[in-house]
Amino acid sequence: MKNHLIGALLGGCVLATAGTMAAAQDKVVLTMWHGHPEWKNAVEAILARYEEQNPNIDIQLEEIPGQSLIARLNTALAAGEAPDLFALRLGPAVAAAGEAGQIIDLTDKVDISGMTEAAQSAARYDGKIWSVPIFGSYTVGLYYHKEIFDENGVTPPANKTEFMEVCRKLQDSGVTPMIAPAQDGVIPAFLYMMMASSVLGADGFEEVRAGTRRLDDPDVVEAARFLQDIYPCFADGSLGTAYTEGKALFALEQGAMLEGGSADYAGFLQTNPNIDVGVVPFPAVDGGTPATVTGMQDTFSVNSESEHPDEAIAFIQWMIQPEAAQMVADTITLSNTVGVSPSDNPVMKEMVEASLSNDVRVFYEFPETGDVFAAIQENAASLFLGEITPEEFSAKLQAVVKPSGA
Amino acid sequence: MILIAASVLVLIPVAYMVLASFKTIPDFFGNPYGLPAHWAFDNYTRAWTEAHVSITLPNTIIVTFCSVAGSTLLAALIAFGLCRKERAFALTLYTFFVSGLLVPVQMIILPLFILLKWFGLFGTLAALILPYIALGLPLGVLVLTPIASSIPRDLFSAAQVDGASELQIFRRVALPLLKPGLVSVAILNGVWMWNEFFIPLIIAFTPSSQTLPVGIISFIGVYSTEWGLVFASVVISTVPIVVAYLFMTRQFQSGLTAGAIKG
Amino acid sequence: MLAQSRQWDGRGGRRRRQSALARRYGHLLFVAPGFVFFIAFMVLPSLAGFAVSLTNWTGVGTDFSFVGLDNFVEALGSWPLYRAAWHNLIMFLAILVFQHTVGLFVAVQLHAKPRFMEVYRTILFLPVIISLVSTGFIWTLMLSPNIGVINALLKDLGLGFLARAWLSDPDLALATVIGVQCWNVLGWAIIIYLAGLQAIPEELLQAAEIDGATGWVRFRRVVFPLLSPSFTALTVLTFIGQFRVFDIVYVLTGPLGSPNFETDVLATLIYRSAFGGSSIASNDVRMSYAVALAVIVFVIMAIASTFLIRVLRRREISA
Repeated sequence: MKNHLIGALLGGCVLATAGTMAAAQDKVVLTMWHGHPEWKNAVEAILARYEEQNPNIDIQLEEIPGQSLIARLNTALAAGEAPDLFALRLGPAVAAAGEAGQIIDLTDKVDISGMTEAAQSAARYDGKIWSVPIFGSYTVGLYYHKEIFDENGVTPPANKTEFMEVCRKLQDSGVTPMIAPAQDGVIPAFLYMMMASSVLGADGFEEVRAGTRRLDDPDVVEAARFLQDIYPCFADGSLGTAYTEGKALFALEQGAMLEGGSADYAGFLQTNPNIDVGVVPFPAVDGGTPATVTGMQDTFSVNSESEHPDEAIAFIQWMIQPEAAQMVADTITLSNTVGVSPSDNPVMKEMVEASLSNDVRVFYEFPETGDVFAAIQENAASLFLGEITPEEFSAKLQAVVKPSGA
Repeated sequence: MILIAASVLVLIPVAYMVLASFKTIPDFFGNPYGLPAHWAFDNYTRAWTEAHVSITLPNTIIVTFCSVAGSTLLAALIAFGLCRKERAFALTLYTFFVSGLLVPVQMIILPLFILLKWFGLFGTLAALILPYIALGLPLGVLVLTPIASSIPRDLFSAAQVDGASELQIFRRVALPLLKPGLVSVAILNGVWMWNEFFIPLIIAFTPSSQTLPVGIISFIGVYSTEWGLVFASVVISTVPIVVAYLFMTRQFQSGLTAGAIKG
Repeated sequence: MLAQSRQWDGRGGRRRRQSALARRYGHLLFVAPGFVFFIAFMVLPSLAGFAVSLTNWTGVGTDFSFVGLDNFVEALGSWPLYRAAWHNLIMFLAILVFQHTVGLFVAVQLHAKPRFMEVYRTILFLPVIISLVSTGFIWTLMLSPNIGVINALLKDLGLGFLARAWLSDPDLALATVIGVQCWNVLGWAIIIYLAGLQAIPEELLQAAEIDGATGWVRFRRVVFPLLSPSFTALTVLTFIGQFRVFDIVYVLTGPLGSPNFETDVLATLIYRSAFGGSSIASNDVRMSYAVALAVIVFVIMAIASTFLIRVLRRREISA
């Protein structure tokens, strides 16, 4: 008897495994993966607008946190089960998928002329458009709490000397000068990119890519020295603090400053609706120009195995038109579409202003300097701990630069 | 005394999690260890709907149950087949199966994906159940084979004298004696199958085939995370397995006794 | 085998009618169903995975070429592999000691059947049931030097001088990860040892008592040797568990095994090589190299566990 029962249950398992797939659809279904669960509501609102205007389209969005998404997407792509719309990491990954014919060449299919110069250059790879940054870009600078600064009589620093002075004053009055969640090395990498950019500027960065300038040139080494010198200004336990925790700590005024991007602000508000912050370019290495860096948020591609490529391409085109771009600018981060600026958001406007003087593209979006980011991630902790000198650190970074001239 | 201390140490983090599951984001960071300033019960309702628990919970139950049943049964058959060392290939096959415990899942995930697609299983729950059955075998064989070997031979030969076939001997003689071991294998494998994150993340992503652990991470953002929601869904996903554990405790205890003897 | 057959022949008539083939290989029919599953979903994918390790495939695109054993040569010559393996080894040894001391001690207490024994046992097993990922989240937040409950608790108890940046102090991080894992795995030690204790016949203990052995002496001379199967089972489980540990380390200290790789283990190293160290950018990603690392880990573990099992079995026999 008992065995029959088990048999029946096992039979049920066989049936369960036969599983039925979703019923017939009279709509065109586009599947889309995105790596930012925290923006789910904002993204869904944009998609709803699109579906409202295109009643025959149903976009099925799935939000998976970035790091997990990469593991899934890479595997699905290799197995031929990737969704219609997805974002690969800009740089080598997009290029490899493009060369393998896994994503559609959008060169003559999507008109990106309305996008900013940076966005256009990010979209083009060897003259072809493989992916389009439809969720805007992020500019990274230095956030500070206005109230904490006022209370302690300090103003936003513009260079290293001023920064160290602000740091000392804040510490003297018992305030943690800077939140720097360095666990995964991402924040140190952004700090370094801004410090180095203050020396190099956009032109100098082009020279690094071309191989006529080096990250271990003595003046650029000063950027690494700056990075090492500000470590004592960081909050306790920075080396083990995760990115999201650090951002929450800053939002809750547990520290006066944070390196942060335009995409972070919405998260601050979520944690602390009363937050009052300002944003400036990151202080320069003495003698340099304070810099911001800008990177593309998610550059979406269309799966070449998609059953509805035309619909997917039409969606990408719509995303960079002013209407959607405005929604991105208002609810997610800075827009890549010319003429679209965040309405009613003084902090984002400050961010736009901050980026006007000396803004450099993030290093990792270029094939020549792509590996520098990973090299900073891997070596920043030992620089902070004094196990390696700024000279050695810079040499390690230069070692992974692949100059285009060479 | 020591037991009370140990229990308290174990319970503090659990209590912390349960409290946190009732907090809003500002409350969570502003007041990390007190009682919630205001009990955010809607974390649970949101976790339930936004993580699609109404789909993922039945899926997880079906997947875990079928995988545990399949894996345990097949492991028992293998253990019975290999329980006498002098049989052909017995030791070789035993080592072969057990070495599966050492295979890192990252190494097999992509070929597994492609294989499941070939079989036309992609998008069904079988895409999880079949690999889980295979992945559960090494532990099952490791635990059950020594127990099967410890069954006195006379029992088998007596059944043979009575005219029982090998299959009947397995069902009527071996299986009942293996029962405690079966229970421990079921729990050992069941716990990891229930909580497994990486495999379903990669190979079970159609909306109809998702499982609980993957639903939970959809609350973990890159720029900010709603911890209250995360912990509410962790609590939701832990309760069923705690209940199942309480249900099986007595069985389990005797199960591991038998397992440990020849462990 | 010969003796076996003759014995059966002598007893049962039915046996004789079975062909020699069925007698010799009949048992393999029982192995066959599981064998098919195992080959299909374990062995074939493993072999395919191994094939990937012989190429230079990055994981994206279809561009790759055969590079032979280059990945293996590179991996074996790289310092991070040994650093990670060293951390795995330390974790294994530390947790092994914990399991065989604290775990055993608690199990002995439980075996004395105190009141509420069932309650204690259930509570102590709870961490095993809670998923490793969740365990990681809970402890990350509790250990945080900024918002964590642990430091706050220490201060309230007047032990503020003990408060630390647990997971970010390079000298403490590995120990902290081990501590969290102890919380997580104590349940296994208790369950396995308790089972072993309950299997010891009462008469043996009584006999020892009559011989005048009491307390510690009785435990060491009589009880502990009888627990050696539990000892073996727990040691092997701990070995496999600690050399494969991933989720909990990944959640506690991130993909880089922070701070400064002090908690980097083999599995995080493999994961980082396969999928990168962050979602934003990490371009030094090579699936083929990651798989080569995985194969190396597999081989080392296979050798080590064979050795381990042999030693433990010998100890058991002599005990």
